[in-house]
Amino acid sequence: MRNILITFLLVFISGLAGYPPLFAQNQPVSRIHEVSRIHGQVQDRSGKAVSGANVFIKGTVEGTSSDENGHFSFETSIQGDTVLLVRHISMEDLEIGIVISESMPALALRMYDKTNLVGEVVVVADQGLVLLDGSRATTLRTMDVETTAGGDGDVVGALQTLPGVQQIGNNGALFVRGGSSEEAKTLIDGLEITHPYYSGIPDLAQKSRFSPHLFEGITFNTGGYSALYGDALSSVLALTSRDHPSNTSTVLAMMLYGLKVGHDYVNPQRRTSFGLDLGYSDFGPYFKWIGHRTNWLDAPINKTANANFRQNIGDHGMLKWYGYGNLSDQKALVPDYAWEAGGTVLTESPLRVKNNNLVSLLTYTHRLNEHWRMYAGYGYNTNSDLTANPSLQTDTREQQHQLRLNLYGKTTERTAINMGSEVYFNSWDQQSETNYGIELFRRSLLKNNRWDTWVDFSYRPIRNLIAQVGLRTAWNEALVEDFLLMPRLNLTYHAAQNSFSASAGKYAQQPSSRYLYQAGNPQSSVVNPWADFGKLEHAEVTHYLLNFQRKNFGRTLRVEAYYKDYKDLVQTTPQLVSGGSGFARGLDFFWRDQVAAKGLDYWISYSWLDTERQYLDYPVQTRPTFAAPHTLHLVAKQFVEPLGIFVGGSYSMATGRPYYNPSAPAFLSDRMPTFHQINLNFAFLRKWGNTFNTFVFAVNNLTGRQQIFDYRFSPDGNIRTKVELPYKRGFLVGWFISIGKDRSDEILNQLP
Amino acid sequence: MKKNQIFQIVLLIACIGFVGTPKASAQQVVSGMLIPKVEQLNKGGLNTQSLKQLANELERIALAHPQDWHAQYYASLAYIELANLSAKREIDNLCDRADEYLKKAQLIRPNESENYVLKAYLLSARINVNAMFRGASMGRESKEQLDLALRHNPNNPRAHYVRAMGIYYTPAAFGGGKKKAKAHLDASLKAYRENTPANTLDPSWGRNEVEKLLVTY
Repeated sequence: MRNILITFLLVFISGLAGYPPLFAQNQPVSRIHEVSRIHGQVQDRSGKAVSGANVFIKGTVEGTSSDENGHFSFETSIQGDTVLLVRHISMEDLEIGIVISESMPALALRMYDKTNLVGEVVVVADQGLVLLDGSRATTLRTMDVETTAGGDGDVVGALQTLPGVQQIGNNGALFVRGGSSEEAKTLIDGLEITHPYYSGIPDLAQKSRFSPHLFEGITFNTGGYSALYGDALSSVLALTSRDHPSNTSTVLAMMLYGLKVGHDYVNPQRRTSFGLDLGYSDFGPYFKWIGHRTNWLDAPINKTANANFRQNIGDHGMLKWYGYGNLSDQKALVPDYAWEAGGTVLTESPLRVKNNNLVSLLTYTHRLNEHWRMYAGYGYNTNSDLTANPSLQTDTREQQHQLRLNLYGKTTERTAINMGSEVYFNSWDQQSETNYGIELFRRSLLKNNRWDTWVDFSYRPIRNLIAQVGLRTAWNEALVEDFLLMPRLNLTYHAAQNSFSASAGKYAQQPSSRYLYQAGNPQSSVVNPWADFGKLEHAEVTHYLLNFQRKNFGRTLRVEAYYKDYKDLVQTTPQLVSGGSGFARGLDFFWRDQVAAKGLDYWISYSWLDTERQYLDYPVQTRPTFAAPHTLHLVAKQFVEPLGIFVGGSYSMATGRPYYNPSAPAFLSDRMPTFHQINLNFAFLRKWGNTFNTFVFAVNNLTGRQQIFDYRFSPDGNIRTKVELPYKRGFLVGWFISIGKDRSDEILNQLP
Repeated sequence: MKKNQIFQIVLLIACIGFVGTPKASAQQVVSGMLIPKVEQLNKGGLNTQSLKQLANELERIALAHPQDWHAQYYASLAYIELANLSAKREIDNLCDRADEYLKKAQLIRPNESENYVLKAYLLSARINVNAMFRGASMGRESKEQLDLALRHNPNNPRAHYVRAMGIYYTPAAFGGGKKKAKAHLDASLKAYRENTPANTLDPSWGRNEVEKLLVTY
């Protein structure tokens, strides 16, 4: 009997231990049997009643919803210190400590609108790349990359209708806010792409290599970017690659000048995936059809491969590899500006440009815990440009290894930190020989190594204010002042749908390899790895920006004013030094409306730019050739439901850029005529069986207007030739088929 | 002695029974709170104000019981249903709230077919903000989620239903339309008839809507 009683007691006590109501955590102190009424009113910041708010005791189900007058009332048996939580879908959560007693006064609860998440300082993207640039960056999802009319199907083309970007018709690269194209950097998954554009004959705009459909996200920052990025004086275009596809699929694209085949595979557990696509294009027949003005001997032939591999590692890691390879070749008769016969006859001579490019990017991201992540990346770029004319052949090769490490996360509720380090091992080599194999010169820069580190700290002292302070260091083996400190600061204030931002920061960039080599020993024809690196420094710029943005359900307004102060730019005459300087100031305006009418999406972007610089061979400080004072874009896209098609159009205008005229009284004082261009595109989708088909038709320069981008002069200055758009109208006709998965939005995003 | 032994055994069993009960009661408490609300949600026909109140109630349960999958699931579903009744400018905020609870549900049950269906249903709600421009990308993402749902449970009737709904409301020119939706509606109804939820609280919504849509043929 006694044994049974003991057993009973033991079992009873152990049972009580497992009885949640007696030992549960997070239960408020309760004196049972007393009931109190919690009541009051919920209002917004202007005193207006908030209906439908969820008012309750945190951690419990005791609560109620506020009525149409904002009033609430509920009873609870919980007494003493507790926390009242109020939630509403369009307001910031409100938590207040209250002491519940028998008789409670009416509570007046004030709620505030949610802050605009575009200004959120720490956005941890799935790919592990932290975007810390708040409202100053245009963050685009691939569907938002409105590769609208004129874009020609590449990322950069899409961006040229945004404010701050100059439209330079004979050069397809990014010229941002008075900066040259070299001042804009392209990154994929945090790793640098050394040659983001195709190589081609001079004065013919070359597209960027990467099409938007490869990427999950595109962040384009036109200035004042954070300490995460370096070696770019003007802007950073950061692309993040996609994660696992959900289905295996095959894609086939056919265009007037080529075709592409691709296949994506993902395993059933969705932890391993890989893809490959191969493309081939031959522009010969197409250029003939549109009457391309270049005198082609061999029109461009491009062979491209894109490959990717993704593997989940454990529960929190992701390994990604992206590879790209391209072989391109072209040959044309190009104007030979040597000007035969005493300077009056412009001759043409054949020029061949052959390019091989390979990119290999490997990244690993790991979620350490709820708040912290780490990233490691290795990037490899190799590029070879062979240019050959009847007498001379020059082979330029560049190779770069990059290693990037990054740790980032939230240190407290109000603070976050991002720190990291990256190293670059770069070598550059240029060899020229005659067509008889006699070496004329060899220039090598075998050790152009750099090391950057950064720390970026963000702090939210009060609800509406975010402060971001960063410091980046740069060390470059090839330069004089081999260690540079670059502070960067940003303050952003949110009020409802508005955000105001002020930034300042110091940025630097190393001179390009050909100048770095020259700085060593310009006359030598011997491999010169230890050239006297004493002559050049980092080019530097200080950015100051003020930004206002308002986002209100389908409408975006952004206005930004900036001032950039350049120093230590490369000068080549009378000697090679880092002695150039300049400034750029301007105003960018952007308005987008996606709700004005059903199915209509349009935007207007306007830029005013005032800039001068003295660099390279400029004898004085003046406006550079790539800066137009006023640039305007009007872009619109409309879905026509009865026909099931998208129609898009764009109008671009840029007032005259300077051009060089040897007879002009002042250097670069002549101005090009104002540029106007209209582009149009149509796209429609059809599903036939298991295939999703997208048809695209687009016209560039719809009116056939003559577009002049530059002039070239004879030595005596009397004869002038035009550098112009090489065709009257350009056309894109494409048929894109995906089997197994609807990938139609990938081609919609490539609409020119 | 024999009587005493029987008494002791009965007492022991009673104690074990008592001990056993408290461990289940926390679950029963949540279930007890959820069942009437879920029934109300499944019944449908609520106006915006009533649905808003119901969503708030389900939210309180979800926050008070963060490890309960059903609580997170139904809080999310309620906000999606509310989004379907609301003005365009409120849809994204409501869907953000629904997503908050769906993410928690996904953490509790990572490979649950119903989570994928709910994600697809949430995306369908978001498309309504601007169907012209969101239709292509979010429609694609919604289909991907449904593929995953069917991979984990090929007989999930709600996966077929949400797919059918997406096709029904996609313009015929884009491969959608009433005609093409029929096969998926039939598959959905068949799955509803052949599969009954294991648990009273397990998802069972959507059948009425499928039957209503089939009547239109």
